Amino acid sequence: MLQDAANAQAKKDERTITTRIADLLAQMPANDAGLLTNNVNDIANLGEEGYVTLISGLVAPGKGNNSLIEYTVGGFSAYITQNGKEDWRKMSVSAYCKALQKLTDKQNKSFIISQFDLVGKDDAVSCLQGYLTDDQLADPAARALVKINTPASKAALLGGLAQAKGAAQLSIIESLGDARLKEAAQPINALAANGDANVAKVALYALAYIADPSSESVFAAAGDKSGFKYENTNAAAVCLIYAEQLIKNGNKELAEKIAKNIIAKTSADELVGVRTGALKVLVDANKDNNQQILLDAAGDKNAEYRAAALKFAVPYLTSASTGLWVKKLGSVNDDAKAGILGMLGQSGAKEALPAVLKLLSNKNEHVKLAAINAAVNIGQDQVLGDLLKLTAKGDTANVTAVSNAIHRMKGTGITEKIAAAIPSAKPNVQVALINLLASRAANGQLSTVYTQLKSKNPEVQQAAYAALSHVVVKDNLPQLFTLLNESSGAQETAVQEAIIAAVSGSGDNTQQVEAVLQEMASASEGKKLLYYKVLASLGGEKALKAVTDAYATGNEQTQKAALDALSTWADAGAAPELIAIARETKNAAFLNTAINGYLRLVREGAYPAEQKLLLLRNAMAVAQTNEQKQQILKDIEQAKCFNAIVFAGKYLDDSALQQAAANAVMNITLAGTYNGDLVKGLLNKTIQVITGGDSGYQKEGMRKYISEMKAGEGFVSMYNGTDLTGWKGLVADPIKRSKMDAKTLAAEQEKADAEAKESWKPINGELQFMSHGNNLATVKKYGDFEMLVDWKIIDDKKGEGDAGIYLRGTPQVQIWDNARTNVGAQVGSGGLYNNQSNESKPLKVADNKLDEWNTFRIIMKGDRVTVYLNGELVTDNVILENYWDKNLPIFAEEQIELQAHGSPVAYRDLYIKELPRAKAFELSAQEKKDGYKVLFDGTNMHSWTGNTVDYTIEDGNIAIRPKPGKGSGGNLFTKEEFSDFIYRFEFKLTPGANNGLGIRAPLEGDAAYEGMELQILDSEAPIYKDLHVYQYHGSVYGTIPAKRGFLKPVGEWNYEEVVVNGPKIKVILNGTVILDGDITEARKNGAPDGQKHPGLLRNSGHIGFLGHGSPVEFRNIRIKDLSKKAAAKKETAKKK
Amino acid sequence: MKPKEPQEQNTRRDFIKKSAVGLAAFTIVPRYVLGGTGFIAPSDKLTKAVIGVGSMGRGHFGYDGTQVVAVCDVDKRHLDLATSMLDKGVKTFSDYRELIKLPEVDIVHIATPPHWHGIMSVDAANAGKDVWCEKPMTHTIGEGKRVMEAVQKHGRMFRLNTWFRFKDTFYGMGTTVKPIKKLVDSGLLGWPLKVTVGKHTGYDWKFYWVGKDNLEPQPVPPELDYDRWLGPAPYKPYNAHRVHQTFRGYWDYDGGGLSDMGQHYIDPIQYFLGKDDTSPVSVEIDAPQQHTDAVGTWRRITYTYADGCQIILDGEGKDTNVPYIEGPKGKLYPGFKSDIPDLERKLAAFPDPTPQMTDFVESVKTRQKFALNEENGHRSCNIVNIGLIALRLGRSLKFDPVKQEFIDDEGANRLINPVMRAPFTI
Repeated sequence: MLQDAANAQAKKDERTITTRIADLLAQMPANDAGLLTNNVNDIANLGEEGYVTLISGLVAPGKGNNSLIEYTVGGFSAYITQNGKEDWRKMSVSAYCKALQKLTDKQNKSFIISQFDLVGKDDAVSCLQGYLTDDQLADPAARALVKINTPASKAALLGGLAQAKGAAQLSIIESLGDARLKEAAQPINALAANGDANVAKVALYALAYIADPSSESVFAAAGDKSGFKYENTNAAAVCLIYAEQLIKNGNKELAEKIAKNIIAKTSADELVGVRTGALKVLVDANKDNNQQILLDAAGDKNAEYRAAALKFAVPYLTSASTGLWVKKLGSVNDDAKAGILGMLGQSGAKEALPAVLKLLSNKNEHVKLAAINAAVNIGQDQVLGDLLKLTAKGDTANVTAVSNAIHRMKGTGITEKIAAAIPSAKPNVQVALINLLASRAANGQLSTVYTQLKSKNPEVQQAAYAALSHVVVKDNLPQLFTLLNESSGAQETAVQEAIIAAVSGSGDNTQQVEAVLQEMASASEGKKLLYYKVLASLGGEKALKAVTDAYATGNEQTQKAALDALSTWADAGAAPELIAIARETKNAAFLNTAINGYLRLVREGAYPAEQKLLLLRNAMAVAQTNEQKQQILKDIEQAKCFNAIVFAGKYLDDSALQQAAANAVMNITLAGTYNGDLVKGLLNKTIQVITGGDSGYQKEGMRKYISEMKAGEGFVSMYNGTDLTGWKGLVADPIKRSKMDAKTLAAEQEKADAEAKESWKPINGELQFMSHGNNLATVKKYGDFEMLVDWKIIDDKKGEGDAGIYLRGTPQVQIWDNARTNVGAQVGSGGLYNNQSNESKPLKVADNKLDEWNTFRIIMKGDRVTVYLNGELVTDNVILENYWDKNLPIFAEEQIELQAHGSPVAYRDLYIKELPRAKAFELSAQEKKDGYKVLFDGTNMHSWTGNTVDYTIEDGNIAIRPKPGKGSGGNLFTKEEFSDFIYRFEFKLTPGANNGLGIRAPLEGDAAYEGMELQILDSEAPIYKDLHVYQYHGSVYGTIPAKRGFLKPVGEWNYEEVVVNGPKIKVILNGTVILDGDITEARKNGAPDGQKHPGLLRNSGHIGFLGHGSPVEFRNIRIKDLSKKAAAKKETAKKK
Repeated sequence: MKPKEPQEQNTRRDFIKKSAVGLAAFTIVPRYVLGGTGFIAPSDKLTKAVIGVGSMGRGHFGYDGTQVVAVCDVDKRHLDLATSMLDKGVKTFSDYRELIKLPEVDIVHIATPPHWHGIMSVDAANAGKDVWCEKPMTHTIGEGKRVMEAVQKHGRMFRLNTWFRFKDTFYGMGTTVKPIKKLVDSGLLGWPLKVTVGKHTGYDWKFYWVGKDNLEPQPVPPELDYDRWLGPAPYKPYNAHRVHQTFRGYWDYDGGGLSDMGQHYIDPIQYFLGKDDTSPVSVEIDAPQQHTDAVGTWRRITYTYADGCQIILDGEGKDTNVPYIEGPKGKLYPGFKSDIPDLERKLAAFPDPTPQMTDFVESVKTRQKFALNEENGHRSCNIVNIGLIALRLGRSLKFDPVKQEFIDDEGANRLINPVMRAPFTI
């Protein structure tokens, strides 16, 4: 049905063929399967002639770009090879044949010929035939004929053989082999003896696959000539292929004869590969009766031959033939025995098990090992007893082999049997068995291990201690605490590990911490240290306090134990302690432990990229060794953000850190989408310096990335680290400034600049506010932008930390010390502090502590601000109100300012990216003249109230984006009320969309009843097929139906004009009056839907969009207030 | 403290070590001289010849237990660079067939672009050599079958050179594959399993390995034998982007990031899912249309096995919390993290996976199949090649793992075994 529709459309299509081809090529390549289907339909609709014209657009390589035509042709060929596209396939073959006539360049011809590889059938044969004598085109033509694979295509190849010379002849011979054409055997037999090595090679190849008995002598001669050594015609191998193909063709006798002949002539060791191949032929030729051949081969003197024979034997092994192999075991040398055992084990031959078990005690080590492996493969847990018996004498090789076998043994009761064997075993066996209990986590066997803790043999004892942690459960804890107090040295550590294992996974951490702290309290001083790591494994605040206190107050030994514990801490809680230790310690070993522990926690922690970077920069600030710094740079790869690229980039010149930095820059950049000269510069530098095995790939990847970067986008630096270039002092506020004359402003500016130099100082590349003076402002004004800034409240111990970022000259994105609960700072930084009606508080507290850095990412679009603090969203697309004059929307563009608030603050890494903005809507001259007023021009929602959260601004449109499952999206109303008016706007629907235009509505209640609702609805969506007439688009809801059928297709913009004048309501949609009604009747007698509509009686109210859960967009909204005119008229009338 | 790792279990080596005490230092003599009637002395180094000594091939000179005695390349500059790195006596060739004729060569190491892997592997096997081949194993499904047959028929040892199924930290997983295999075998995750391979599970598809769809013809540099470089591939005019460092972006020789990285990532999955002897039954793709010559990118490729297990290749990385393995009873995330509490201890109670032969020199000397060989290597390469065919055709496909053919799709089947340019044959 789709195709019919497409054909119907094609008939109507009045575009010229040239236009249609151009339109089609413009759609290439398709981005997904759906678009591919559309494109293929379009190609089919071009028809054969049109398609030929399209293909004829191919130009000689180097003379232009063929890629769109190649996409088109390749895409069509591939698509139509699926079932059910036969008509299109025929069309394509015909078109390709015609196009071949038109094309002149051989490479283009070759491209079209290669399409027949996929789409060719008999219909392509005649047009391919002609190319079989062409030196260059015979190859693609012959290949296509092979793929066509019909009697006609094969006949064409055979016909070509007679005429072709040189390269064309080679192609045809090879293709005849690929086509397996019997009739070609005779002519090729003659060519095989041709002097040309290439001809001989392809001839033998072809003959081997054709496998006609007539070629027997050709192969015999070729094989003998080669001596069955590898040479350029590959004679020995093709002899074998010939024999294999003979078997496939049912000629087993000839195959067997050839194989035996080859075996006889290849007894030399260096020819064992060929002899093996012949054996395979012999085995295959005697499928039903090959056991003796295989048994004999398995006893051959050549190890490679034997090994291969055993592999050939596997598929033929049956329970009946297993007996023969068992018998064979008795008559062969040890190496061959081992091989046979391996084969029996691999096959899981149950019948062989008794024989295998007998060989467990064989004197030859190869044989014994093979028997052990075969036994466990066949018998699994059934042979455990036999294997344990084998260890009775304690022979090391046996113990190792048996122990390895038990590791992979399947079955039940294994650990029990091992445990039972331990008491009476020799010490080295005890060690191995205890290790087995440990590695198989034999929880039930603690008592056995416990007994061996007291073994007199030190190795056994050591193994028992090492096994403890693997076999304990939480019930064993009291026992273990006692044991800890009794043990010393390495055993202490083992018991410590066991306690850690027993408390882990036991559930209630708090309880465990309590228990451990209690034990620790009663332990002797020397033993206390052992508990730190146990606490570390549990984590939590209480445990942390105990260990940090120990570090703070203990001697060096205690400190070391506490630090070791902190560095293995179970949760991220220890990170601040570790960095604090790293910052203050003078001990290089402590520093190293602290940094590595800290880095581990940062690595494992679920931090947003920006926060992770800040944490890693803390480590970099105290790192001493290159090793530490390299690790930090490596970890920075996990902090994928712009700042991380810039930070890592700073180390590209440091020879010891260069490679780590280069990898970080590359891996972060390539994983994201970054533009701009900063990143490009760093990538170029990385390309220069990166080395290593993969660097060729990597450089290519980076070059490609650079070539795809968008020009003119990306962050630029706002602060150079050394002076106030780009910045100026603050003069008054934007409104006051705009009223100053140029001279006054210049004078004021000069004063402000001088002051700014005293208040804002570059220190160590950072920009610091000296606690006095005024805001620092950018010289440049910004409209829409994304800004990055790191800030730090310096703790001056006064507890008044406060600052902020002014956007477009307006306060502010708040920065403050969140300990200042007296001023409400506990909500955290990043809110729009001065907002009155819109949200002013951040969504969450994401601040780092005083004296630690924070990162803001601030995005301002239109009147909306989004703030991320340390990677957390804290302000989500909130309107920034105009602080200086509440009656104005936020300025369209203004400077950015760093606020002065009397407390010391530092800034660094200030970057900004200006964002393109939609052009603001402007009234037409006529509308201006007629007295229209803009309600929404795409830049701000200043005229609106209600749900300004779900109704947001996107690309200059009001977009309602209801959160899935979270209600309707609510209503957005004009702040002003209107009674009579002309309201013009545009809207765009999504499938099934439902919204409404409220008029004369109060801000509260259901506007459809408390006011009136003019439906905004995708009327033609299937889900709305059963609505009442007064519910479709444009209707006064429930009251007056509108005409249907004038909406633009979903996804296109509709233009609507609503005229409300007293009881009369008119709706004009896309130029058609779809409703022209009067509510007088409904006011009197009620609405046709039978519901109460008190709103019908209202004479005035707000106009608004009424959310019903669907995404819809609106734009270019303006209004003409008719009542004002009427009132003015009345006024004039009165005066008269 | 961790339990002692059981020693690698191809312990024939340990036995041999014991019996070989007292033997003189390394002798370099070809294996067939020493071999023959028994296993060769373990202290003897094997000899190796490397075909393709571009950056990849040159990186493979220094393996333990082998000595490079010959190298081959169709680019003279590569040969010069290689010889400068090697001992004086090393022989150089521009035609690999001359190299594999050398009686003193035990192992042929193939480090060429993939469109040559099949032919060279088969020829080396024909010549009685053991083979060490770089990934992806073969450029087509058909060539993979041929390699498998030739290697087995001639009793050769074959090593496909990706190794994550038996050693090294497995990309973003933060662990070797062994515990993953043990976990899968234990059944703790349930069945069937879904394995997702993409950015967020630690695997990068290197999508910069795409081709350019409008290459201008350029003069062939004098040091390069371009015709031999192309070998079995269709003739196309030379452009530097086709060869060396960037060949992966062209269907004729490789298949972009999926070919480059696919077998590294997929082979261990085949192994731990226990699918070494089979293939998926369907592949679904979500990708932009591909150019006929230049490889492009893709968004998602989903393979499904007959039992419902799935491998998802994620090219977009949209889902940031996706587990690496997901089963009905549990999930495994990178770093061996799991939603199953106390997983490591629960797992310890289960038996270890069957040990693997992980030393190729050992494998060659004892004729035991290497862990990643012509058989399972071909199966994991099939997954790559099935995906490439689906991408080239722009549609989802059904596959018969026994016949190794697509079901009811003539177009796809015509791509299983492309015909080679004469006189190159396999």
